[in-house]
Amino acid sequence: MMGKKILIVDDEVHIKMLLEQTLEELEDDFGVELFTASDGEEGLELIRSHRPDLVFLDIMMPRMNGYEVCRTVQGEEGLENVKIVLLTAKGQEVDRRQGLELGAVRYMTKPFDPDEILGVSKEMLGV
Amino acid sequence: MTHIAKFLRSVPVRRMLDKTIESLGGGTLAVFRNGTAQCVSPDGASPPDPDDPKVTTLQTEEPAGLTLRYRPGPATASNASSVLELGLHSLTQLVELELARRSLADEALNKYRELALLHRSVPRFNTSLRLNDVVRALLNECRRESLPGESCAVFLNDPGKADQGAVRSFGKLSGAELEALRGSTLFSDVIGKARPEIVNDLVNDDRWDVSLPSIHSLMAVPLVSPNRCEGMLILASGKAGVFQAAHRKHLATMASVAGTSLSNAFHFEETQILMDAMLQALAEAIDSRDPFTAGHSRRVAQLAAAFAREVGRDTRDFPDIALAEHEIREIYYAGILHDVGKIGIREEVLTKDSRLPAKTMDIIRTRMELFEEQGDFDREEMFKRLIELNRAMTPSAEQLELVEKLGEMCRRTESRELPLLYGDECACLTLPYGNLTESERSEIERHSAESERILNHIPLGRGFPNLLTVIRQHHERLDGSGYPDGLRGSEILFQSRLLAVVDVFDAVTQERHYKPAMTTEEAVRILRLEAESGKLDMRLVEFFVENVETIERLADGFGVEGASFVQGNACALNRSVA
Repeated sequence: MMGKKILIVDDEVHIKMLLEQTLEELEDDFGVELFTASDGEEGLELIRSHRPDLVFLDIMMPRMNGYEVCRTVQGEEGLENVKIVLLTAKGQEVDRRQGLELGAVRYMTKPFDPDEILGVSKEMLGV
Repeated sequence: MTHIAKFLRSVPVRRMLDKTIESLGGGTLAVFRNGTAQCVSPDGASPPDPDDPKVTTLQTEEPAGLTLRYRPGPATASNASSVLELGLHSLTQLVELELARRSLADEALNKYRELALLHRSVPRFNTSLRLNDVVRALLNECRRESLPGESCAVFLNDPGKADQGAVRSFGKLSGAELEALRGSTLFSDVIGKARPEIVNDLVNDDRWDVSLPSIHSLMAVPLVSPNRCEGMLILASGKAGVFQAAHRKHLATMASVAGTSLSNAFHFEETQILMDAMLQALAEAIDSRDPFTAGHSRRVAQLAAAFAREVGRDTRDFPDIALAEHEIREIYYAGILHDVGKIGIREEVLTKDSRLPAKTMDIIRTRMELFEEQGDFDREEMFKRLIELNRAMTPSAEQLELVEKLGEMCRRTESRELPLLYGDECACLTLPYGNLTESERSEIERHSAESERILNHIPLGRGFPNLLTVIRQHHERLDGSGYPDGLRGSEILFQSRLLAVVDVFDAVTQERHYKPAMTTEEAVRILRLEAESGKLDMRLVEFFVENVETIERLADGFGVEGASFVQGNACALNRSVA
């Protein structure tokens, strides 16, 4: 798992902190690199520049929401291997379907289960 | 702690150091932890050397454990030392706050974990009304989650109701050890208080009056439902001091849900048993009006259920038929209730064992005494022949002649004529088959429709959609000669045809007023005859006669005393846990 990268994109500081702390285990044990962004635009820039293997992406954010990020990444050359997991408080079935149609590989809801986050990460990173 | 080191390399710390360098008016500043420089300002400069006499070093203790080193530059301000002290102080605060934040986050994440656990576990208890399933779900939860304790057991308070014994468990404790545990004062004390308890040092607890050296701590959680204590959940460990308040809280929540589920399961079973017993009592009461039919409904029910189960399992003769547990149960109930309608049949008709009742024969005898005086009349001989005719299935030609002759005899008095035999008496005596007149036969044949009418009041419909139809149809015959509706062939349900075979079998093999009991072989012969003449289903009859011993043996397993159905009917909803 060396050299794998996980990007966390959320406008809420405490969510970024909690996710980072949850995923630290992967940092310590597997050398996974963690980094964060505070809105959709910053997230997209980091996706393009760093090509993370996995992105935990919030939906409701200023400047560019998660759906738009998904749509852009889905259509952009070179970003095929970026796996996006949506992590959101939006709970409707239609929200879920929209997310998956835009290319997200998973749709998870808040509050998240730390063990589920770790499980999904290991799965997406191929452990 | 690598997390502090990582924090010291972060942006907020860098910014702080850069600001401090500004206030210092230049130079090189570095923060060290465990001998390694984590951050240097300006970025890229080489960290100040501790052996350099010009370098100032400031330190704080754990948990921050920081060392600040400063090499002054040409423009360093005169108040450098106070700035440095302020810098160290602020940095230490930053680190301590970061540590506090991390602890808070840990706490929050653990709470999220616990909640997620409950969200997953609780629905698992709601998926079944069967006692066994609820107990198993509870044990699986204890095994699945990272709760301490190598052994886990669920004790149920009412052994009679649970399946095979009062305990289900996993782990290292044997059955005998578990029974000993149940017998301890500690166990009864906790049940009595009905509150979960942790005992981390069993050896020193006064209530621990049993000898189980393999366990040193345990958690006891009573399973309480709204109206009573259903049982107890025990987690035990060979190590002392392993259980904590958070574990108890978690299990207490699961136990309360499990308690309700268990209560439901118990009630469901009790209700089933009660319903079975009541229906059987009803059927028995009605059967017993005629002492010869006592037990008939129960036997038919048991045989039919066993027959149905064998047919459902069979793939050679009945590959097209599969019967679910509730369908077999439906057939069982059809058996119990099929003759309920006989309550409407008059006793004299129900128990009729001869063409004319004994009282009437007595009267005829008296009339004969009067007639004897007319001469040319052998009273004894005549009466004897009449008695024979009275019990005959079919009258012989001579018997018919006799009745004709007697019917013409009359005795005249001054005021009126007194016949030896009245018209209706002659009619009864000359019935071509059996001993029932047409109106009596109709009365009896009403019973299957009557059964349906009476039972219509009981809301059996949801679980047993075919029950009343099967009961109504049990005297229908494939060739249309049956009653009440004269249905033919496939108009008659499979279950009705099955019940008909068993009904005939039991009637034939039991003694009746009008005939003795027949052997199984004779019954088999009659069943085959009925099938060949197109009345009973040939395929069913053949299967029955080939497997009659197996079916009779299995029949005992059904019914109130048998366990077969009590575990059978789970809740109608078969949801999977998302």
